Amino acid sequence: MKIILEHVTRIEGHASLSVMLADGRVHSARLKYEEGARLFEGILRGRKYFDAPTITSRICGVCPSVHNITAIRAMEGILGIQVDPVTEKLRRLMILAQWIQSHSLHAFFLALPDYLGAESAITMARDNPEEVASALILKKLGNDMVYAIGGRAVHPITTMIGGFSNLPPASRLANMRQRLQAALPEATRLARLTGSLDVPDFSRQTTYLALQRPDEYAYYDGDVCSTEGYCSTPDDFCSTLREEIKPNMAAKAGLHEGKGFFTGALARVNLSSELLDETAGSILADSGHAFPSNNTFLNTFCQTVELVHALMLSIKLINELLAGELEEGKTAVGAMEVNVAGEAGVKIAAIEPRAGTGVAATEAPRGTLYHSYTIDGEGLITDDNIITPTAQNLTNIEDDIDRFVDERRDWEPTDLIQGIERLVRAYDPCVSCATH
Amino acid sequence: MKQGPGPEPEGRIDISKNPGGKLRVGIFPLTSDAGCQLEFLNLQDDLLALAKAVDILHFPMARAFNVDGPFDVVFVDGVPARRDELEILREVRRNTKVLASLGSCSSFGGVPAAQRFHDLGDLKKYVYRGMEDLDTLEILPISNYVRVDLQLRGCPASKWEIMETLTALIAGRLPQLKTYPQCIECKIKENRCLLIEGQPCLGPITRAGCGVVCPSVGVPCDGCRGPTEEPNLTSAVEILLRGTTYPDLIRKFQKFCSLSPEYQEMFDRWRETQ
Repeated sequence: MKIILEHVTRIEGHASLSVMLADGRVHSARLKYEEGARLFEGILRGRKYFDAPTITSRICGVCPSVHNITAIRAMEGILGIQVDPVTEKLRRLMILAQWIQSHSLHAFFLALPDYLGAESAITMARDNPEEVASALILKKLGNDMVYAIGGRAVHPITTMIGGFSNLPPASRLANMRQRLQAALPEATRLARLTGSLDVPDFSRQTTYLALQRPDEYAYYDGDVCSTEGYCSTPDDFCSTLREEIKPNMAAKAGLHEGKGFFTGALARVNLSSELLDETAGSILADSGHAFPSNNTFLNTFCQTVELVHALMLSIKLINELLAGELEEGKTAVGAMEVNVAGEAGVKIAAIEPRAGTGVAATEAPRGTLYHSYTIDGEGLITDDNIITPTAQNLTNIEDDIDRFVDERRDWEPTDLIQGIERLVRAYDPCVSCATH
Repeated sequence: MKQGPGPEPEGRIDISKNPGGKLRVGIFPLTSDAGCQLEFLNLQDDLLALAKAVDILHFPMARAFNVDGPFDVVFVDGVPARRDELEILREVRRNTKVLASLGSCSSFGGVPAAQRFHDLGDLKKYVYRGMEDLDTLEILPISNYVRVDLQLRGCPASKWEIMETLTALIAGRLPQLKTYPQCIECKIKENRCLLIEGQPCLGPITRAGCGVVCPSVGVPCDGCRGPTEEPNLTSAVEILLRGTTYPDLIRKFQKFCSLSPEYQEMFDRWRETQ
């Protein structure tokens, strides 16, 4: 028996595959997240409640806004803070912007080169210059939206407990809307292209979990529901989710009712495809792929469908904000900076800490993200748990790899290893998030 | 006493270019949130403009095939948090002329360095409930292990500084990284002064270079770029306490650059009162 170690490239963070070879064929393969422990949950303890959003933003550079806003909402739950509609809409826009940026990065720069036979987006640019140009426009748009509202593309600044420190001027939102509209044909074209690609013939029955709402394609809040009929509040789900400790790995693996499950774009589509925006829904319907689907490789296509959905929804939200709501908006006084009101708006009351526990869940680009905190009467964090999509998916990835290998025992090892890498990549794993 | 990032040894930096060729660039990730690498990717338009002068030979987040050198400049993102990452770091140092720390994790240990305000065993027990064999390493700036030629600070690193570093090295000169405090840039931008308004803004004692992004949107500086040269901490703390409490202020200093040598005396005094 021989073991080879393969670094998985074109994913966020470092992971490796350790592949067991027997008689010149792949016997089995194990994925390992190769990042050290930063112990975020530990270092949050003893810090003030208002530190959680900025510190947890640093868990991940690809989806910082989602960590940031999820932490803010969990804390607001504890502190009994209700935010105004403008604040909620701007936060929703930031989550959608994160989807746009993260999905276009993964689908077009990290995953698509596999299907177009390119080594990287750089070499892809030579053979598919138009596609790469469109993808660049989309990724930049997602970044610029986070920047326009949050004050910085990586790690937002203006988002605070209670509201925003600063509201984007209407002209900036109008400019965003114009760019979103202009990007729509590009996104639609790329989504249709991704839907037309041959994906490996692979199917394995598993549970798909995502936030769900009766009235919208859930992403900002909702109940946690599965394709097998399970539904509960994020709070209850967190208390039943098992996080399995893996030997010498800084990531825990998610188990729901004793089994692995899938979270991410494919789960959202499997659960709520009928609530997608019409344009996005028609791309899904026209693709010829049937949903719900058990083919993990289709996660990338689902991301591109969500990309179109996110563009459409962002335009709608900006329309509502520009129809007059923005003028009513208030800026928040920073949780600890109680002296001054923001320039643009009305002062929101200073925050008095109170003891309690709160859970919030958001659909991050890669799946459902949970933040849970307990704070004491002084506002100090005494207990916290952050459950990321890539950690939740680990058990399911392992089960998928086993099945994938099992069905392709006669393949040449180099081809099979490449296939496994593609399979792993389809999950869009974020190792920084998984290990935090 | 732990060793913080030392002075930048400018005299020893080898800025000679790859004869006749492009600037050979590597981006090496250690344990991090990859935010600084993202900022690198976010330079997409500028990087395309530099494509004739720059060859990015190692960037595993973006490429499937990566070479291990030789490089003219390597940017290290993140901090060694496992023993095997030390090997990567040392190997990188051997294969590059210029080594730049990219962001506050590699420059100062960043947010994860706050581990040192806890008992590591307790932290591991809390997060991993009894997994004893987890490979951990005390979080220290990369300058603790290898010589660092350039320090690009910030959480995340500033795109402006990345571009300045690349364009300077292409031109065969040293990048001009700012050493003055944030306040200078706030004055230039005519921002309202949050400190005067009574908010705990670390601007006066924090190094500029990010474009004062936080104060510009009404949020006090969190000090993610670390201390400016010879900060007057005693008087700064006195003023800062008008807008916050001492424990909250200490926690603010412990957030991003807790291993800055300049802060240690303050932490020691704080510990004594606990």
